[in-house]
Amino acid sequence: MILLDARGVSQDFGGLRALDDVSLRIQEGEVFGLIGPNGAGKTTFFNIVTGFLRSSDGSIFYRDKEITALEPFRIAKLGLLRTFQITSVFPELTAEENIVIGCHLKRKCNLLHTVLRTKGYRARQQELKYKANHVLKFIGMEKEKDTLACNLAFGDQRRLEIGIALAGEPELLLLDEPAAGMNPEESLKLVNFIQQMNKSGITILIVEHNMKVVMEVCNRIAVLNQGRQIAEGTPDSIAESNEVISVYLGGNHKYA
Amino acid sequence: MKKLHWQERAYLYKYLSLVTVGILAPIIFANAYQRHLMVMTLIFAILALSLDVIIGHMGQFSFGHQAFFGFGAYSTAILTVEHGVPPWVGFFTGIVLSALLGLLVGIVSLRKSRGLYFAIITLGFGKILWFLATNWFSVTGGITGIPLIPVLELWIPMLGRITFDSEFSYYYLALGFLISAIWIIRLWKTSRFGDAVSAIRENEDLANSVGISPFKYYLGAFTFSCGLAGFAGVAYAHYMTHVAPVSLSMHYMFWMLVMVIVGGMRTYSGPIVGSFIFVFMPELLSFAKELRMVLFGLIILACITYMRRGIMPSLFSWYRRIYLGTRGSKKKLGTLQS
Repeated sequence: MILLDARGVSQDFGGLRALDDVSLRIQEGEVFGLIGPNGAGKTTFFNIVTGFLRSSDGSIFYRDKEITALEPFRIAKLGLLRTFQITSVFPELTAEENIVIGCHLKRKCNLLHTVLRTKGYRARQQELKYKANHVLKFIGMEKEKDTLACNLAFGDQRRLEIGIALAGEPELLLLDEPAAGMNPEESLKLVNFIQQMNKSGITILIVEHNMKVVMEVCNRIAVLNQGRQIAEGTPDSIAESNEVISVYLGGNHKYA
Repeated sequence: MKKLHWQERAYLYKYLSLVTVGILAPIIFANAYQRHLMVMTLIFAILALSLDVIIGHMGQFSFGHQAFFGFGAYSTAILTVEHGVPPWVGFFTGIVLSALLGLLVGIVSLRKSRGLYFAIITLGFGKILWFLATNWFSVTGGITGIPLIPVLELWIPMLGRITFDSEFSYYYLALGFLISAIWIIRLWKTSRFGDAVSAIRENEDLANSVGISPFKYYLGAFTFSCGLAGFAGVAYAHYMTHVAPVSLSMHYMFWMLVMVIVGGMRTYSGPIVGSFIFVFMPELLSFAKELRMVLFGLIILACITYMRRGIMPSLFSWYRRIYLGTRGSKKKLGTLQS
């Protein structure tokens, strides 16, 4: 089953063509990598898929439903959640509160419940706490649950950010450079973490510079260069592709 | 009874002492003028608390909040005086109308504008209402306003029918208003609606990406805040039995900002203390004669310089450091109470 289907997505910023006719299809259950040099348009593609940018051309379908130009929160409601390239948490809230907000989509209570504080309401609050705890355990941050997010170490903030997305129970999780700024040990942990999430049934689209991480976790990879899609395939075939090597290592700038 | 956490205990003490002081105050101070000031403190506390929803919780600046206060006051005045509507009907209609007006302003301004842009839109809106109040003579009575607003009456079991026409009786009514306002704010704050607004304040893009619609929740919070301001407005109108354009002027707006920021944002006690200072300080400083406003200004400056987060949050963290030996920064300071 095709989960995400991007058809001919293009984006112009003034005179600059940031994305040029990019088409990607992501199958349910896979880990799909999107790589390319700086300025290739990876994050732009992310922003278009998640509704933060409106594409100049092309359309995007999620489970056969068109989501082109929907607002971000509506796309999130469909089960498509993301993280940001620049670490993005709720700084003045504790780790636990961060996760609780991530659960927002799954909190079902209306104004009446809130006012009356019914038994069901309190039970749901309890459930919420339990769930937040569960997520904190999964990302290994139980000890830090009462720490303000802005006081957390950088690596913890990144994990917390993924935790916020996980709390919303995504079907498709988009990770924007999760390994940026991590040391080899931390990235190894991340690889494990991504594989674990994938095993629990979450499809993942990942933008990453760290080739080791990409080659390790991805089932399929697409390569962007200067807004154009130059290759797509399994990690092995990408690693051997002359085009990709020339883009990354210089060579003759056929696509520049 | 289960043993309370120190934080809960502190909260409990704070509330209990405040309520006790609140009930005893007009009995101790028998002077009518002092009682009048106390009623004003309570009404302005509701107003300051409503502004705190915008400043503290939404993290936005509104410079037109006095307009909703005045709009509520004028609504009930026009309804009860000109159209002979019963006082309580005018009272609640005024609240609803203020909220609706807030909804309208919010729909226009909150979709894209944040920060200063939002502040400027509300400023312009406040000016429009002020202009209407002073110049639309046939409806608002122009600069003289509307006099002879009927007083509120209530039938209370055991006490019989009570007319709230004295400072003493209205004091307890206003105290009830303030407590119910705090209760409503607390309900909102601890619900998913309050959580969502906190999330948007902290990081709007991230909130958006986890499925929280910034427009929807900010609009809700703004409408809520405007309804509360209207609540303070109708309470003011039925107490003073007279409204004038002064209630819509920027004068109140700036004092409200001072009340919230000096008192302490995102607390219940902060805006109340701020309101108390605003009403009583000029009186307490009356020994200084002409210099009293200068002195008042200096005190406010000192508060802001040495109590950065406002009086109440600073006092609370000092208390914590002295009695519990903990550093304020290490403790949980999150703003949600889930």
